[in-house]
Amino acid sequence: MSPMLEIRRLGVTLRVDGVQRTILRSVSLDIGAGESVGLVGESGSGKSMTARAVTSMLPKGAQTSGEIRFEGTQLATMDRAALAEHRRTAVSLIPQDPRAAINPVHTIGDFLTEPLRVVHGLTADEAVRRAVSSLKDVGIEDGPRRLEQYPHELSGGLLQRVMICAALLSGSRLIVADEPTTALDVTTQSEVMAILSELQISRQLSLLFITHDLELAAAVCDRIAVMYAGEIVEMQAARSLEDAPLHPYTRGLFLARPSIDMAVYPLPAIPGRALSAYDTATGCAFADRCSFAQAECMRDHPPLQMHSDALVRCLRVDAVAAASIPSGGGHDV
Amino acid sequence: MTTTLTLPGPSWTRRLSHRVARLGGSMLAASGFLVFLALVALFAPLLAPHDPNETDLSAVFEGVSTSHPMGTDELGRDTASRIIWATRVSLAAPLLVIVFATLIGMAIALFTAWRGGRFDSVCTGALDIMLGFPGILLAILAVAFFGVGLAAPVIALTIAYSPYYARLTRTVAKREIAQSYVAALTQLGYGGVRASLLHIAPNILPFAIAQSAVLFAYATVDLAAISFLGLGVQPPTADWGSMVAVGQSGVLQGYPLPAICAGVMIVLTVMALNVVGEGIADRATRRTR
Amino acid sequence: MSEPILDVQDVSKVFELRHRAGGDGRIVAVDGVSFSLDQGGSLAIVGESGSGKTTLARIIGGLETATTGQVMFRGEPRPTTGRGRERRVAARQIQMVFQDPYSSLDPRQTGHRCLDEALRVHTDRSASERSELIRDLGHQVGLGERELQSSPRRLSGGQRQRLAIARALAVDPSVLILDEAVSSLDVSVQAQILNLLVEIRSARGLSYVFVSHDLAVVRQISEHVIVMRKGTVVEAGLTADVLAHPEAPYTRLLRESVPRRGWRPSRSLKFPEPSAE
Repeated sequence: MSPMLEIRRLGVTLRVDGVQRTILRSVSLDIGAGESVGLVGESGSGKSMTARAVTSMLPKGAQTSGEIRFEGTQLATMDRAALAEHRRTAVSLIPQDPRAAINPVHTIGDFLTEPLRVVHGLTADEAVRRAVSSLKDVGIEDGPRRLEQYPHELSGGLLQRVMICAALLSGSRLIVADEPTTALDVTTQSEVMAILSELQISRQLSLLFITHDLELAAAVCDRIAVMYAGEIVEMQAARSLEDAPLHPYTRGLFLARPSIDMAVYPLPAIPGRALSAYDTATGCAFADRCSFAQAECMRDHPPLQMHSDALVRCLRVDAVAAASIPSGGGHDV
Repeated sequence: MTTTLTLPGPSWTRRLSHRVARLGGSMLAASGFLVFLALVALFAPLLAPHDPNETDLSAVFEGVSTSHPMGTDELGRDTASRIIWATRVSLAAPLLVIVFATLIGMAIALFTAWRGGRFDSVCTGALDIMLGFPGILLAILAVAFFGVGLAAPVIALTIAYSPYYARLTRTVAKREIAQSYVAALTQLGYGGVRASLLHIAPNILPFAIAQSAVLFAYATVDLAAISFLGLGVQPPTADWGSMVAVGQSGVLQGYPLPAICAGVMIVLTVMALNVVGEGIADRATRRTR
Repeated sequence: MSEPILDVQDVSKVFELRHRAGGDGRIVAVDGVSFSLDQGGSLAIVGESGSGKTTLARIIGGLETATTGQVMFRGEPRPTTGRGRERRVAARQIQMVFQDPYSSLDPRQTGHRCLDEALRVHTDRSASERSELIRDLGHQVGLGERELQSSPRRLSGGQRQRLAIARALAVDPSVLILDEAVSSLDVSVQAQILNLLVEIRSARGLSYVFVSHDLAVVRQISEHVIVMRKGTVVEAGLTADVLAHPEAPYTRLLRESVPRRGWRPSRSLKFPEPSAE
């Protein structure tokens, strides 16, 4: 069965300060029906831009190369009407800040029922009934009351659940969640992610989950793609990524994260800072921060290659795989 | 340890021309016009073909000619020279209004924004009340009290514009004060005055300047109106507003040229100021993102 | 045993809201919080949004005044008012580092000028002495000459936080309040800054008050912790103990919500979802 979403060699450049800068280098990724894929990266990795490309919401002046296919059809070939249809019913975005996405002068009820009435042709009553039932699915019991409320009366967590609700009501087969819980408290995050994950699995939806939190992604995704400087540097099943990360950057990310069980000094920090695609020179983008790097790494840009069941962009992957991962850190990387 | 490529920067001439090129066409035209006006005002004695006050009753209401590029007015004075000389007064007066209204307005804004709380609410209310009072009315009253001439209207307009200015700048000031670097300044032991003068004011200056440009336009129109009413600049001093007023009789007699020239100058100046003001405001908001 | 460097005594902060149509216009942000910090110690204030931790931090830092209760610094009540010199001298003892690296620095000043200003206000050093101090400070926080001469706009989040830390250190404080100081940073940068903070603390004998919502970070940097919820302290003690064996249900809930190996998100069962504020 062909994948629901196919991203092939996607490249994006943006005009920044009058110069075209590369944000994404060549990103290729597939998401199957019912599969949840995590896209993990820090600033400058290009993960948000990838999300925007998939939901066809790239900023003005962005130039793309490569292709994105949704259920076999190329996004680039869709005409206006088809694209609008695509955005409304096929893919839903759950943004980082729901308050920026919901019109503050409309009630929650308006927000949820309007697409049902306008796009799907339901009557007002049917739409309300569907909305209330959908709100129950996301754990909001007093639906009728909530429908009367305005966005500012709801907390961030509730609002995100409303966004999930909207995604479900639209009938989208693919949900793109762009750092949906970054602005939420950790307890609320747990709740919202639980709901999202449960619904994704029970309804066989595809999920592209973008985050900077590796552990969170590992908890809700089947597969994880790690991005650095505008390209994917590692992609494998979440479980095996946790057990054995193969790219030095992924390894570094796991090690750099402090543990709740033990204090360690010094924390194994990755020296330097994260780069954007346009800051990189020749060779591997991560080379100058990498403890495994050798002369060849500075020269040659590594391709994404299979290594057992994983895809890794590293010339030194064998050495990395051989290195053992200290469970608590505190040793040299 | 990072691979940031640092290339040698371009020379200052390159950077300047790059900046100029990045201005939109309208911005470029508008600012160019204003610079041109400033130069005209500065070099008026050198540029004017004739003495603006030299009357020649044998050459009344003449049309365009080589010796009189814009013709003559009802007293035979060269319109072009009068226009050129008028640039000084017509620009200087609003400029004074703006500079002082800016200083007073910003001071009020910073003071009340810093104090916050009830003081701020009361102050804002008072400013709102003052806003309701039309500047031109105040100017006329001032003239009634203190006599004709530019001094009274300029002072009156300064008082009238300051609240408007204060209101606008206050919002920006409040936002700036909410930034945590101001809290850090408090930590350093800075009081309101020091923090405002050294840090906050310079940061809200771009917005302030944007407002100034638009208010300059308003002030130009207001002062021209005052002069038009005969309450401001007195004859024989050349001023665009009074030239339009005096030129009325010319229009009725079929010789609209002096009035039109003066009127066009006012309109062009106001337009240019508006464009530049908007452009600066745009840049200011873009930069803060 | 000498007195604690910081003693927070029954501090409460109530915000009176005006223009509130109907209902009580008060928000109790902090409700009777007490704790003490020994010299050289590091205490974390943990909580989620609405817990009052930031308000409490601001009260200790002198940016807000407590409605009731007081903050004692070295046995003396911390002055929050007072004029000129007196205020300046009092202010420098307790310095704050803020969460947002982008708004906590004056965008118009280079790092060098920013540090120079701090030194000029609080010391009587000559210009050349100040330059040298600035170089030292830069070295301590990991900022080179070029970074110090750049406008903050050109610096990354991590570099800006280093500068903010340098600024706080410039006036030679005894206590550093870090209000979510690493929360906005990338994971890899966060680790660097945490290491830096540990280093500085032992090198200078500073005391830390570390406000955060991140339990793992808190474990890394503090020996003591107080857990706040809705303005009150629900649990306090040694960080290792409280995190390993939380007693209060809320602390347990917090601990269970932290993503880590083998963790799965779950809907919380104990605490009802608040609707707003």
